[in-house]
Amino acid sequence: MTTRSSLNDALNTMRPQDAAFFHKQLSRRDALRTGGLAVGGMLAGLPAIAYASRSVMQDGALPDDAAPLENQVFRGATNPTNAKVLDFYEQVYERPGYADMFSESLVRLTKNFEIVPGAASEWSGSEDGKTWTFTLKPGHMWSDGNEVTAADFVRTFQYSADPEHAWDFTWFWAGNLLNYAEAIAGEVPVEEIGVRQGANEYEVVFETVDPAPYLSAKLLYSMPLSAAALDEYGPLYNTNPETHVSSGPFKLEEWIRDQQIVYTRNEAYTGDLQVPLQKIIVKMADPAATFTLYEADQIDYMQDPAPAELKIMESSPDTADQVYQGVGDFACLYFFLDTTTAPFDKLEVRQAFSHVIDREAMEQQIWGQQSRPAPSFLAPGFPASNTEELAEIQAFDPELGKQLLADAGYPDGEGFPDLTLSYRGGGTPLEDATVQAYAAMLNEHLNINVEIQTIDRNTFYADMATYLFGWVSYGMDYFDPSNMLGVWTTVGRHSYSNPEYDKLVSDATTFLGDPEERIAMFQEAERVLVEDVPAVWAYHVTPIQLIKPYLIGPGLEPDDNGIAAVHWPGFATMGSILEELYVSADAPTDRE
Amino acid sequence: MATTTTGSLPNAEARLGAQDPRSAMYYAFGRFRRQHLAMIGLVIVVFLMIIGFGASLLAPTDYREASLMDANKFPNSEFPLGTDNIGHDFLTRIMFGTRTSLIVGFAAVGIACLIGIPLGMAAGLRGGWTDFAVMRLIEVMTAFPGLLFAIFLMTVLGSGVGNIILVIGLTSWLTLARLMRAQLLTLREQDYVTAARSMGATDLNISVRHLLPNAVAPVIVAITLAIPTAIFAEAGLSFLGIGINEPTPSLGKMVADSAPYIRVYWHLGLFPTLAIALIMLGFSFVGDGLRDALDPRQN
Repeated sequence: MTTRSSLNDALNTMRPQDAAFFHKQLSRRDALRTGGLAVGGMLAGLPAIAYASRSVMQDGALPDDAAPLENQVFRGATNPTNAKVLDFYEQVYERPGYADMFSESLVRLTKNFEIVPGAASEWSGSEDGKTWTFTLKPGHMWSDGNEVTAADFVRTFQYSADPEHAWDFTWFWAGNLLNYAEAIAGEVPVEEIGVRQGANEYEVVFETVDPAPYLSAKLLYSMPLSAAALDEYGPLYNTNPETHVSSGPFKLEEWIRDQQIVYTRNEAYTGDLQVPLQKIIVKMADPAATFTLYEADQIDYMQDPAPAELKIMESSPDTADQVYQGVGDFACLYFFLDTTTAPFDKLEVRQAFSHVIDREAMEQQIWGQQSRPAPSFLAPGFPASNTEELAEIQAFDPELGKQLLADAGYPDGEGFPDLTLSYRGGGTPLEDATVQAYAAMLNEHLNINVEIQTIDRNTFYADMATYLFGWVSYGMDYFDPSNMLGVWTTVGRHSYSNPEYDKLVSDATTFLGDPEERIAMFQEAERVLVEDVPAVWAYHVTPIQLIKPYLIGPGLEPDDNGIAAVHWPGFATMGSILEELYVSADAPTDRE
Repeated sequence: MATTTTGSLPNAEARLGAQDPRSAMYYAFGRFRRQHLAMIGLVIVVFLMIIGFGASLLAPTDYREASLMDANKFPNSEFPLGTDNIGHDFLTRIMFGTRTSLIVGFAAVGIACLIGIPLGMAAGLRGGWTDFAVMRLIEVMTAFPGLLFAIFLMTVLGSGVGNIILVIGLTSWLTLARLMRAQLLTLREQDYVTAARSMGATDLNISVRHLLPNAVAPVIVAITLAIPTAIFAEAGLSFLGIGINEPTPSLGKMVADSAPYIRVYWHLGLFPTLAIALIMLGFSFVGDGLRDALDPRQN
């Protein structure tokens, strides 16, 4: 295990910007701690960890420096393209930003990436790790007067598995919850999936196919729909204020398609989130126009400014302190290689490709603050991340790359086929530049011609497993290594298949023992993965946020690891930011 | 008087009977040359063709070559048009982008000619069911918005130079077909066509030897004006990200790629935009000049 002193040694040998980054980011030890915390609270028989709210509200009162209640208004912007529903269990990829406000998941994720109680007050697992019981907090009401009970969760999960619903995120539970995959396939009724009421209406029981010590982390995505509303109004009841029902801190006030969504406080809210904001206005805007809105003080927050926009913000002392750098969802962007097909069926070819990507130059000239080099898959701060120790495996060394290519039978690239790099449409400017720069590097160092073919995003994902050489990203869906590393198992999203890797991931995923031992198992799996080079890792996203100075609160103060930003999952009830952000008295009035 | 009359007759006969050695094209070129904008357009087109088709010899670097450490340089003595966001020499990229535009423009219009001219000739010459079928096909094709249809085809076929040429060609033959049909509907009633047919000439023979030469002037004008349209279509599709694949330079894609940087790195948007404008202007001026020069009424 890396000790603090060896970590410091490593930092001392790094370039200043890298050292600063690693000081800012979670260290490996921190990752073990937070990851262990997340997993430790889930082990069979252990109670959930205690959690004290960090809300800025004291007995319902705003801080002294806060604007009055009527000015506790937050304005954001979202791309209207995907703004069709507002609930996770309706459709995941058709939600705008600022969705999932109308109910609370069983657990919540803090800014320090701790899994803490949400709608559930506690949970426990069976000895075999396959049965998990979550106890709901009583007295939590829907705005229609019904109580939030296990029936809402059971009905929501059954609805998600209904083939007629055609939910776009079924993969998340398929193969994990008992009979879920079979229900999707129509082989068993949805009533037989592994989600049921326990001993009483406040107990929700989940049954899994294999031991699932990570289940509570995964149940971050468990915001229920109202069973009564589903029965009375049918799907999409939350898209209309007339039929809308909420048990969350906000309710739907208005939704003018392609213009704006307005959430206001749910007066009937009985949950334990103490939210200072009284209104959230979500303006529909093309991403290219978002910065203009921000500059014109039409919104208070935005994410992912374009490179020039970031430069403009940073170049002025008046605006530089509005720039925040987060860690997002620990996404890794990478070039994947089809290891089953020539020429990438040769390890030497894959290794050669991995040694000609100059991440240092890319960081300096392309990524800037918006990303950090990824010598391995798991980003610093994510449980089991082992960045420092794996950094040399795919280090930039063009001479070694040339030698490996020659060893594979392609001296100076002779005889190597021209390649097409499949690129998903709608990429960010950073992605565009990274892909083009890597193509140029392959040409420069290995004398390989690469054509970049942009493919419609939906088509890309549908056909991704068939591409020889491509570019894609993956960010976490839940805070456990089984999520990220599961992508590379034989049943994952790529053609890569390595029985040794599969076994390591499978054993670690279902391991019920010491959390640190489990983390070490995942680290061994990642080492195998990085050495096998099914992908050339490029960068980890550290998304930039622009936040107006009058938005303040502990949510924007450095977390335990020194990161000050709105943390994933952002403005939703499954995170903690809603409790930790308010509008200061300095804010302009009439900001609607 | 008689002497005068007798003396003047041979001159008049000479004037009337002698063949003018200068062809209609000679006069057309004369009229073209007298139009300043047309000549400017011609100079622009020739200049663009030299830098475009000569890019491999004239450009400072290979278009694939990029020096990341030189990224985002403003125009300077080393890089006259600056560098882009990954360190491509922008002058090189513009020269090769011009080549791409010209190739797409000429090739796509070539495909349009291969489809549109024969169909227009068949419709105009044969009439009847052939004309009916061709005109209905044209009407159906006209019902599709050109750009949307091109986007659809590009999505199906995938991006790339070959596909974009094919797609633009497939969506831009309608004007040529209609024009050729209209020309032939007029010309086929001429006495010399009736004479040729009475002497046993086939449709193909009549088309190639008699009709096409007489219908060619407006078609040339249409072709000349179709080239900038095709170039602009390529720029548009590439701007939308479904046109030319990197690393092949495309002026439209260069404009699109500049958007996130343009508020700081102005040169990334300015130069490719100017290049597109220059190409459009050049071909449009030449096309307008040809239209005026080849207009029979100018005789």
